[in-house]
Amino acid sequence: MNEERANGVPAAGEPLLQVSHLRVSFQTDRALLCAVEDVSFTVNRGETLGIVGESGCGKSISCMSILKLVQGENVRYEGGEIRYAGENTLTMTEKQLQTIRGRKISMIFQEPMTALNPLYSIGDQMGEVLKLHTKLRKGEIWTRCCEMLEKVRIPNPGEVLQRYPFNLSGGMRQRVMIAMALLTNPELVIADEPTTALDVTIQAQVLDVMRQLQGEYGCSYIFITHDLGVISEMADRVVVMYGGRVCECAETDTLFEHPYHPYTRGLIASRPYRGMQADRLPVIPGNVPSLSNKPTGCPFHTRCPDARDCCREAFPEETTVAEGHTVACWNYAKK
Amino acid sequence: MDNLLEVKDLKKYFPIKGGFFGRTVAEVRAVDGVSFSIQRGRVLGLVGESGCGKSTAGRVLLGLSPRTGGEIRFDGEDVSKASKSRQRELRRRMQMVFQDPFSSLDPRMNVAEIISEGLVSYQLCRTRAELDDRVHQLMEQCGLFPEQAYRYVHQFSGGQRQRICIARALATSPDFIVLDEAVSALDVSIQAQIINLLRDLQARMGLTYLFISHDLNIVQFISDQVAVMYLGEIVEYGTTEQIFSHPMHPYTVALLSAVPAFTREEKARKQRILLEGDLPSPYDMPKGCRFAGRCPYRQDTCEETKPAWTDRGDGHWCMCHRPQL
Amino acid sequence: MSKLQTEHARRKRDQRREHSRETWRLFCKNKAALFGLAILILFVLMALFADVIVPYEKAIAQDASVRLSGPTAEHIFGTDKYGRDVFAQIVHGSRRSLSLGIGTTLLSVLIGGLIGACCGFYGGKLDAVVMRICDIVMCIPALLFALAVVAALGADMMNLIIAITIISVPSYVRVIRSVILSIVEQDYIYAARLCGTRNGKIILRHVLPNAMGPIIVQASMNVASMMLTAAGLSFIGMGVQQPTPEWGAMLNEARDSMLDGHLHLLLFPGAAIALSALSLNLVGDGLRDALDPRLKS
Repeated sequence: MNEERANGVPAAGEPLLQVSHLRVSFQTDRALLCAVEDVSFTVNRGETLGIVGESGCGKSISCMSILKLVQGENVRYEGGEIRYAGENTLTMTEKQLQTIRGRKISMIFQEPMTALNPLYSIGDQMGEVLKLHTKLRKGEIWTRCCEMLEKVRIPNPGEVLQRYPFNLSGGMRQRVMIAMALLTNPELVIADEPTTALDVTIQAQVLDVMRQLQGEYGCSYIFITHDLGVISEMADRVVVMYGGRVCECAETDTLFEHPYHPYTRGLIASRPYRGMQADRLPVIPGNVPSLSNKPTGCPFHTRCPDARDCCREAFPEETTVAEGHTVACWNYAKK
Repeated sequence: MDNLLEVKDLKKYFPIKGGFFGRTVAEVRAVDGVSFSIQRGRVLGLVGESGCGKSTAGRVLLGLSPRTGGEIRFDGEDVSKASKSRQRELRRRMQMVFQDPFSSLDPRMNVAEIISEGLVSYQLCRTRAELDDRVHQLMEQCGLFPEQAYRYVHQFSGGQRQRICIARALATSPDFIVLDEAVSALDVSIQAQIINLLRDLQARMGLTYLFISHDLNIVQFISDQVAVMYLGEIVEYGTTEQIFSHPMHPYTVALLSAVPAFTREEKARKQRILLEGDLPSPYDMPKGCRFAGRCPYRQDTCEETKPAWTDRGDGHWCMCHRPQL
Repeated sequence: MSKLQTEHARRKRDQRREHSRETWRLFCKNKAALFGLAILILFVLMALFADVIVPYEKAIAQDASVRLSGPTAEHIFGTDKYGRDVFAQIVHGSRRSLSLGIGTTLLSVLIGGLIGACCGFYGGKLDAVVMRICDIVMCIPALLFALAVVAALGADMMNLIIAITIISVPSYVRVIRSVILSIVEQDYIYAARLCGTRNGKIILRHVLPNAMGPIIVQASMNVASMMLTAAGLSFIGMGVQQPTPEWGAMLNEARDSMLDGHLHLLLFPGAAIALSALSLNLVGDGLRDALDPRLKS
């Protein structure tokens, strides 16, 4: 399958997926709640894009929207487009989406126990993916699954394929999920908090596996997490989200060394680090706003130390402060 | 040394029932001979991975779960030997804040009812008015607004809920609080607020904490002493400085190296030790050192004999066959 | 100081008032529940003012001249094989039927709830023994068991209620126990223990209120089957005695006449039982949702 990619497909570094001005809302019986508002970002080939933010910032919803996985009567895709391979996935039919889901773009979820069906063996579930998307025969499917499990460093893959999800530990399950996501050699893997439920030593193993596979397959990752440390280790570029908006976007090291947005700065400062000499941690005051009472203007103004009148009225335009580093904050907006 | 809490050889085994008559066929040794002490007004951090027994240890300490063996001395008194009423009094002085601020608050009660529960059952207030005042005072201390007193908990965010939990724990005027992953479920920007609140309260009221967590950065920030647990045993114990700057046990070293590096400097300095494999099954524990199966420095002796719990100088204890790292 | 306290009291009162208003608003939003409540109120009014609506004599007076007549202007629901007015029987029967159905349900919820809560909360030997007893009681056919109880105690309304309650308690104990088991493991129960709250109070204040949802649903679904069990007992002469009107007994009697095409005898008492059960079901569902503080904003 690797040859397929070599033939006339753009090389690493070119945009693979472009999300622009995405807007997703939920209709409740009282109001229309906007979960994702005017969100834009780009994923390049072969890179890892990290998305950080707190609960309810819209990070998961924007990424699930890529495959239109946020569904239901009350979901409204109100605008924007998601360009993948020259097409807008938001306007695709279910049938067209099926050819992309799991084949070109796959997902890894936070809780591997609920993402795997407890009634089927690992082999059945992994085989199912290949049966859907390839024309491989039974024996070939089995060998391919074994290979993939070996890649994610699972000992005795042949035996594990016959086991059921509950026989495996959390770390093993998550590695099975990763193996499953990469079976069809997708171009993009969306990992939604893949290590949050795991212990640190297991997390280190899983992250290591993910990095190694990226080196081998050249796929791109969207890595969603609230853990700044994990983002810093994994991502090439980072998007910081707050209240359904993107507030800052830059290369990882640049962002963590020279954050511009007050929210990013607050987040980084409030993180205890080794050898810290202080009695108190610097904090961002206030609470994370809920969807139903999202502030007007810049959603962060209620907690921002430098909030001004204009912050309450309108959301600032995105400003480029350095190459590849954009910020949406009135403090840096062009006059 | 003025120890508020002393724990000696604490054990908690969970029986596994099986067979036709529900006999005990095996047991899981969740906490297997744990000893430590906490000085008055200090914070002991208890770190370890899920399933290592750190939360069970906290619950057994507070009598939420009966212990299988061992001794708990609180303020010089053996808790299990005290009379019923004395035990109740000792329990009043030991409280807990749970990990999940959603499941630890009764959804059918309002904030005032939740906070006043301990005040009522220990009869700490004489009149209705005194009770109201005390509840409002506790709310203010924990950064809540008294006008929120009669609201139900579902109207609050995670951080505010955790403040309610802390207020509830403080209601009975405890000396000692077990913080069981008290900030793990919170958003990053809220974690710092709650940690500051806990520190302020400690300074103001002279509280003693057992801070159970898997987040090493936070443990490092808040603790005076740290104990590292692995599969039901404490494998290393020392001051925060000793544990974080000169770790001795290979597990502690691996744990520290697994914490994601944040700054460019940290990334450069870091040597990653990736542990192989997963935790062994709790049903059949290795005979020798429990970490032997995953240890990069494993020797033959490790698998056969259990290492001794020894003081390596300056109160830095470690359970490992290797003399020095 | 006292000003502050009156302020507190006022705030507490306001919050309470707002809380009940919110509960009512949520209940009203559920149109089905509102419909159920309307029907239920109609039935209750009917039971209360039965004598005003139609005199009791009409329900028991036999009139051979109008036996088995279909609905007419004079007998709007028709008459039975003794010439008694079906409408009057339904109106007066509502007293017995409703109080039997609702009374036995309330009683068994109360007893089953307490036993189930204790079993789930304490577990261990108590739990094992009670569960085995429940199994045994559930093995005996319900009607047979009730028959034995009524036979032992004598046939009257009160004993009927006792008999039916005993049959239905075990199923409540089982359902409630399983609900309780999931609640007992919640951290707020541990927290309550740390607050020094004693076990009995924990069960009453924390465990049972949180188990209310499933209990209400189970209870409201059972009312109809209670009425039918009572009817069965009445039929074999162990329950409400003839000629006292009662819906279940009417249904049983109608069976004889049904084959001759007198469907009205079956239709009206059947509809009365179905409607009252349905209304209780709808009200139960509405109550469960309206009482859940999590659904309020």
